Amino acid sequence: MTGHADGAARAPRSPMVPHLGDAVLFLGMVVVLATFLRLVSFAMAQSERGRVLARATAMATTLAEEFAASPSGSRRELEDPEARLVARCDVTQEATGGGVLYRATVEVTEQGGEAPVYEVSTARYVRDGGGDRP
Amino acid sequence: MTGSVGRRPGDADDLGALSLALLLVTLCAMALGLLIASMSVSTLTLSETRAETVRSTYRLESVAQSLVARLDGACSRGMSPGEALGVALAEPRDDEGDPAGRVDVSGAYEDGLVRLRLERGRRTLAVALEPTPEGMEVREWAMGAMPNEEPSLGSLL
Repeated sequence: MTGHADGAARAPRSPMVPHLGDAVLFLGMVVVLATFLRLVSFAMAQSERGRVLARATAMATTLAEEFAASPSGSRRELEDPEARLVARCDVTQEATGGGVLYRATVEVTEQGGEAPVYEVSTARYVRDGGGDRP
Repeated sequence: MTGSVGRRPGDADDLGALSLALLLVTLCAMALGLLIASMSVSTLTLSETRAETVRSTYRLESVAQSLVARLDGACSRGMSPGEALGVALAEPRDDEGDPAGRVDVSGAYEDGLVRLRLERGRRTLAVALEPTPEGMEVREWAMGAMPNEEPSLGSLL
């Protein structure tokens, strides 16, 4: 036998083998790319949720603080056009023996949306003829 | 007869190099994707924690204000501070039907002051009220947080 180092041991190669290898590599690349894109899109969605929630919390805090400072005369609505959020403050009052207890529910929704993004409730007691509680 | 041992395109060596390159690209892409995703999840978790803290704070304020209103009302009806405290704590509160929003309240009348302690999650509110002829005067209104039981990086260093 001359010259054949491995020719006898190797089976004849099918012309499809290189193409199959390429196809597997290509498929792997597509799967990786798809997974990467899904991860990035998931990350973007989570970031957006976090950003909206942070903004909604800040808006709710603003209205709640204004209510605490002046339960009967505070602003009832606040808009953030950039974040497309609207905060509304509903105030109810209840006469108690010695004064009035004001209750406020602040609800932040997306513009045109119904479901609240964030909600906070608080209360303030104002004694008859006296100042607000701390 | 002499056989050819030359390499053809698509041989195992070429595929091996390509596979290695693909593996590296895969690992880098996955690591980058996971890093971006975990950072965004941490950002969202921070926002949710902050939102929950704010909610707890106002919830405690709300319950405390309604307790002060009850105590003030009871005192203005001529009850003693101890009795007024008992009545105020016994009355049902609007947070009791909501397990997630429940506030734990305890109170005592000592040293001439009505002391209330409210807890929700890790947030606490300590209130001290002094009964006066005009009603309950607030002497202390302290919002705080209980220490975190989980070890933080700071406590490990």
